[in-house]
Amino acid sequence: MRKIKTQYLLSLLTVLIIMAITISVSLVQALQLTDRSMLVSTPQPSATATHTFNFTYVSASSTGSLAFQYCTSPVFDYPCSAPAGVDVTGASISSQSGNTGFSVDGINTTNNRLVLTRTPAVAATVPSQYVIANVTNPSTAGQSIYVRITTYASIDGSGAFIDNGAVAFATVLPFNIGANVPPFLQICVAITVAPDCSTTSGDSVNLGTLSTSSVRFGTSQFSVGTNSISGYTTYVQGTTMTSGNNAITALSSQTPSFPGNSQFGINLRDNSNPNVGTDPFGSGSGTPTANYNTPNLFKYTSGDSIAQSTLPSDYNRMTVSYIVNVSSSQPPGVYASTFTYLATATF
Amino acid sequence: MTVAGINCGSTTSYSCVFATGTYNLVRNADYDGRGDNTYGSDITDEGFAWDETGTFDQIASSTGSATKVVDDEVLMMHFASTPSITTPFGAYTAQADFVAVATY
Repeated sequence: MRKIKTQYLLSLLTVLIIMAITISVSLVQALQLTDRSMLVSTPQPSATATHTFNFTYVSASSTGSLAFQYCTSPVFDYPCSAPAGVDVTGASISSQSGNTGFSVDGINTTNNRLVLTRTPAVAATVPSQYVIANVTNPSTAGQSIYVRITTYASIDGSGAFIDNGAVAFATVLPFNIGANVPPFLQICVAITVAPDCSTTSGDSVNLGTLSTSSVRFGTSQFSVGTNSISGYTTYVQGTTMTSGNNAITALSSQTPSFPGNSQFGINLRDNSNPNVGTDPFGSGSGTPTANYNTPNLFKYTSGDSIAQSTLPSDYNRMTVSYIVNVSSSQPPGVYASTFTYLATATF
Repeated sequence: MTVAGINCGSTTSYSCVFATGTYNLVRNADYDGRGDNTYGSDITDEGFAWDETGTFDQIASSTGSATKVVDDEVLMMHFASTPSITTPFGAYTAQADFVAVATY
C-alpha cells in the first residue's frame, strides 16, 4: 500500500513538472515585432537597392543579433525558399536608429539572409529603423518577396529567436512613358496677333488718301517661334504699292520719311517720325534684320529677310510699320499691294 | 501624371464604389484627377503633378480610411505632357518606379 502511494505521488510530481515546463515554454514564446514595414529604393528586378526596415521591438530581452531572411513565403513554419537572384552579401548599414550598435556579420550572412550583430544588450521596446544599402534585388519581375525578421540573443543569428515578424515587397519593372516632340515653326500674320499666335485679327490696312504734304502710315504684326537649333529667318515678299502701271517708289535703302517724295518703305521698330510702330515684343531671341531695325529709317525690297533668330526662339511679336509718301506728280488712283510673310527654319 | 479615378475590380470583402466615394485607396491631393469622384475624361479639367526629385512621392494610401485593407482597387493613371515652342524636337521618355509599402 505504501509503495502504491509513493508511485502515485511520483506520477503526480511528473505531471506537475511537465505542466511547469509547458508553462515555462509558453512564457518565453517569441512575440511578433510590431509596426513592421519595409521600403525599397527601387523595385526593379536585379537592381542594387537600399532596403529600409522599420519595426518595433516587443521583448525587452538581451539582443545580440538580427536576421533579415528573404524568402518566397512569410510563414516561419515553412522552410525558406530563397528568391532567385537576391544577394545581401555585399550589403552595408547606411543608418540605424532605435536599437542601434549593429554591424553586418559577414561570416554568417548568406545570399538571402543578412545577419546584423552587436554586443548583446537589452533591447528597448521602441521603433527602430535599419537602412540597408547595396542589396541586389531578386531577379524575377512581378514577384512578391517576403523578409522574415528575427531577433536573437546570440551575436551570430543562431539559436532560438526572441521576436519575429515578416514584411513584404514586390519586384516591379520600371514604367516608361514616351512622347515625340515634332519640329516646330509657327508664324502668324495679321493686323494684330497675340504674342503666342493664339489669336489674330485683320488682314488689310487702309492708309486712306495719300498726300504730298504728310506721310501716311499703318501697321501689321507677325509673331514667330521655333525649336530649330539654328533658329529661323522671316522674309517679306510683294510688290510696292501699285495702281495699274503706276507705282510708288520702294525705298531700296534705309531712308527717312520725306513727304512730297514718292516713297514706300517698312521697318520693325518704334518710330517717332512718323509716330508709328512698336519695338519687338516677347522673350524669344528673334530680332529685326539690320535693314529694318533702325527707328525712323525705312526700306522695302521684296524678298528681303526682315527678322531672324540664330537660336531656338520663343515667340517674338514684330510690328511692321508701313509708310507711304507721294510726290505731286504721282498719278491718281487706288494703290495697293499684297505682302506675303514667310518664315523658314532648318531642322 | 494624375490618378483619374479608382476602378473597383472584383472587390468582395467590402463595398467599393468609386462614384459614391466608398473605396479605401484614397488619392493624394496632388494626384486626384478632377478632385472628385468622377473619372476625368478630358485632361483639361484634371490636375497633374510629377515629382522628379528621385524620392518616392505618395500618390494614394489607405492608411486614412476606416478600413485599411485594399481589395482589388485599380488606380487609373493619366499621363500628359506639353512641350514649349522651344523644346528641341525628338523622342522623349520618362521612367517611373511604383512601390507599395504596407505596415503589419
